Amino acid sequence: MPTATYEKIQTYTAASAQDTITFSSIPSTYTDLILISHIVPVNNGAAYLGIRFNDSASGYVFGGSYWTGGSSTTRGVYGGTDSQIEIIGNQFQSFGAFTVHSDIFDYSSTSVYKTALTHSRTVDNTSRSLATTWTSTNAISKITIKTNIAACIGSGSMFTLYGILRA
Amino acid sequence: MPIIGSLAGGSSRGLGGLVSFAAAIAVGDFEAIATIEGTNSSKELVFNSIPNTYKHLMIRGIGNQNHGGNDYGNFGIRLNNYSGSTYTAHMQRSYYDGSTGNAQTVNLSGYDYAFCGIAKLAPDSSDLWVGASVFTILDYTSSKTKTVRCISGFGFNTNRGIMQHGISTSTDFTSSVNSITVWSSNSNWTSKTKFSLYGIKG
Repeated sequence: MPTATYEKIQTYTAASAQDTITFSSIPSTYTDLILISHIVPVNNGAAYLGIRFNDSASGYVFGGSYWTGGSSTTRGVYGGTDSQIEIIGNQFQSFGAFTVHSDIFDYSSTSVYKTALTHSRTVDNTSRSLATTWTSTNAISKITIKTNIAACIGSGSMFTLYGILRA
Repeated sequence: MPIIGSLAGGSSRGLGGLVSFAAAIAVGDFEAIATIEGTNSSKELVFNSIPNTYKHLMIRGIGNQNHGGNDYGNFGIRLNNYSGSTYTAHMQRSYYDGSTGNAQTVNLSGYDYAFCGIAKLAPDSSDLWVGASVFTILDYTSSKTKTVRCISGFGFNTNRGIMQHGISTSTDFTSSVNSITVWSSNSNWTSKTKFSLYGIKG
């Protein structure tokens, strides 16, 4: 019997500029998480934006694309290890509002590493499409969206976390 | 209910008048239909008796194939188990091999399955790495050719990663879809593999 799913877990809207947004005590009752981040940047200096799971600052193995060159776009590929999922690159503060879509698979499993697919788009060279595997078998109960300098996530920025449960 | 915090002020509220493409999904428009898991003994995982009451279908899941190499393996889907060599695929693949980024454009024809995804190849049963994938089968009950939209990827082997996205279709398959086979081109799906089918209402 098909069962309705894809439920909103929580929405957070920034009332003032900040640099860290945290979803904690995430219930383990879903299969996948989807995080939609609509960000209104504040230009307080060169900034990039990342996601961490359970406050972990290591073990993010990734590969994917970035785009440079504005209207004459060039695609680059990079990868390696990082201290977070870099969901949008340096200089995002220079552009207008943008949205990041993140799929996080089997987030409560303790038998596999966790993989996330993230996409972000701005008008120029900070866009990213990345596949990242966090090398931990711990269930994800906390997600932090963080910039490297203060108060770059402006008022009106909105973050919504959804849960999808498999049949 | 999760707890949300920030280093400065903020508020937790409903969606209000703000617009997000994901927010357009209402409860009840997206339904979980079935889940299939790998057993270490088959290359094929099959969703049968798919109801025709939705507009689109989505498959989400994680994949791990029992094969040496500690790298990535291709996979895809067959519609109604159709294996005519009429499937095409057009995708962007981004592969980082540990030292070099490779921007690849994938244009294929004559395949006997809709090549969509990539999964982790498992050198042994203790492998913890899996590939993640989302496929959307558009207008699956129509009498037209079907478009499969796909995105797939993962990090692996401590410093490597791959991601690909694009579309695949069969040029002569026009039947209503009532079964989907998730087909590994390399070897059997391991027990780490789980794919789930969802229906999206129109």
